[in-house]
Amino acid sequence: MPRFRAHIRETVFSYVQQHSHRYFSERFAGKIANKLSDLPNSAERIVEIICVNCIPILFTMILAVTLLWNANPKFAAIMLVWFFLHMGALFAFAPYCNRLFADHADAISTLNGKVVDCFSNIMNVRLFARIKFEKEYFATYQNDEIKKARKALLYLELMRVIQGLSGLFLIFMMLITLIKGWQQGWVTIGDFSLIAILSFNVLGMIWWLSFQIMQLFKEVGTLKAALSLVVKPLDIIDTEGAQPLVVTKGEIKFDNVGFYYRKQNRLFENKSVIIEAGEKVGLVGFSGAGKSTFVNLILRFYDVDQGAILIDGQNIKNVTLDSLYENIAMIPQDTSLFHRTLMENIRYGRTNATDEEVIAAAKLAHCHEFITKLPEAYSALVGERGVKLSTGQRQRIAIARAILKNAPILILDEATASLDSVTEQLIQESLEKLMQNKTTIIIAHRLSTLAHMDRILVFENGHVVESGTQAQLLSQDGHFAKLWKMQAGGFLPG
Amino acid sequence: MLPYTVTSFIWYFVKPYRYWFFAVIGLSLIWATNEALFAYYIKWIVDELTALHGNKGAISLLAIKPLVFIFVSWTLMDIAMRVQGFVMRGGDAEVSCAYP
Repeated sequence: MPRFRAHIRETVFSYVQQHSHRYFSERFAGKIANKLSDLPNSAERIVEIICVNCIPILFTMILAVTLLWNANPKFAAIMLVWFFLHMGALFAFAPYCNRLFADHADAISTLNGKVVDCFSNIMNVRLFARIKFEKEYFATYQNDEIKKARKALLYLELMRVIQGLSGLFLIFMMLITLIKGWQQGWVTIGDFSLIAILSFNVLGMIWWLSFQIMQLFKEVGTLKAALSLVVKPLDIIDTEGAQPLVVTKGEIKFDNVGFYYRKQNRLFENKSVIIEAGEKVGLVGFSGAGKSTFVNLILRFYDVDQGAILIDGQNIKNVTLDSLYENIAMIPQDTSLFHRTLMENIRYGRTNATDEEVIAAAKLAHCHEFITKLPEAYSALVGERGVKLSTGQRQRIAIARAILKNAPILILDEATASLDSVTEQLIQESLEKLMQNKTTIIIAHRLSTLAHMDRILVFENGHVVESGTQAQLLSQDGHFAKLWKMQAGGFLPG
Repeated sequence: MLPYTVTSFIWYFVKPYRYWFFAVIGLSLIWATNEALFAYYIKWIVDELTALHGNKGAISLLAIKPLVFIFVSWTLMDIAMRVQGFVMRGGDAEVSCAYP
């Protein structure tokens, strides 16, 4: 059984990790984690109840009825009629009870999701002095959970009362018939003891069985709720016969691409863009213009609705996801780290890298300086999502990881935006080295960071409205020049 | 994709361990049998006693057979429950779910 439970946990854990970016962005991580823990526990309880309670108790019931039949068929008939009425009533009421417990399980998961969401944003709670507000916000969900728990438990107790009365009825029926049989001479003392003991035994077992069946329905409800959240079809998966991506040059081509997040809200339509092998391209535009979507589509976080994205002539839909990610290094705007050591976090870029290689990458990314100042140096734990480090430090770890990965395609999403000018200057040199001979896409709000780009694509409402070097775009006096002028301190507004 | 209905999901994971589960069911049937037979042994003893009509000297001789049966089936039940507990909990806990 421990292996059985572990097998479920491992399989479902791996399965959930294959869900798309969209799946995770639409759900609470806490709720998913909660359901993930519900699945093995409920499955184990269901199997236990069936194997250890239902089947043996039903078997005892069959033996008891046979023995009663041998003593006198009247007693067997009473027992059978009572059993079917008792179980019939149980099965009639149980589905509603099941629904109540499923609602309650869902309320608990939502509550846990809210707790995790609050703790993930604890800085916001503190900075806005919203501890009281969060308490009240939490209380809304807590009250809902209490209400649902009360409703389910009240109904369960009501069912138990009915079961108790039903058991009392059986004992009375048996004893009255026994006394009558004794008076009329068709019941011996031996039969009396057999039937009395069997009746009490069976009653106890059926009472236990009823309780276990209620538990069974409860667990089935919990399992159903967990399955409906966790076991969704995977929307982004390897297609049949998918081949590993082979990047020889690093050319990226958007071929007549159409994409929308929601129907009637088309972001890209017939988009065709070619990023040459080894080219360094900057993406510029206001928030919501389509820069991040452009990158997310290359990473296949979403599938295109029309056309294709090709890397060195291979449609990314027809290559394995693992090989796609192996060939792309991404440094996001807000890097999140595992609550593991710094050494492990950097080594995540290439798990077979030696300590020396990790340290060399850290030196290039200028994080070796602050790591060696920590008491535990590379063995220091970074806290959940890396909270013990500053944003700039986390960003440098992400750069070290990308250096170690050494993928032929590099994507930087505002990678240096959270760094101070001195560090940015230092890292810029590392990034220059990292970008050599790699196809690089940089999303930037700080337009000055794009000075060395081979080309800048200016986005507006999902369309590339301008394309050229910084100098060319400025001389055109178009959209980019307008953005340039709007900048105060080097940043684009919102 | 993983099975998404309760029965198919459980069967998907039970299947590799099905022989263990069959063993658990088999062991459960031992104590289930004992639960029913215990009443029969008592009836057996009572029937023997009433058949004596006061001949107390023959009691021990007549009662020994059902008592041996009670002893054997009780011992078997206890062993079955311990083995079942080991299989269900990996040997680290008592059987907590079986009918008490």
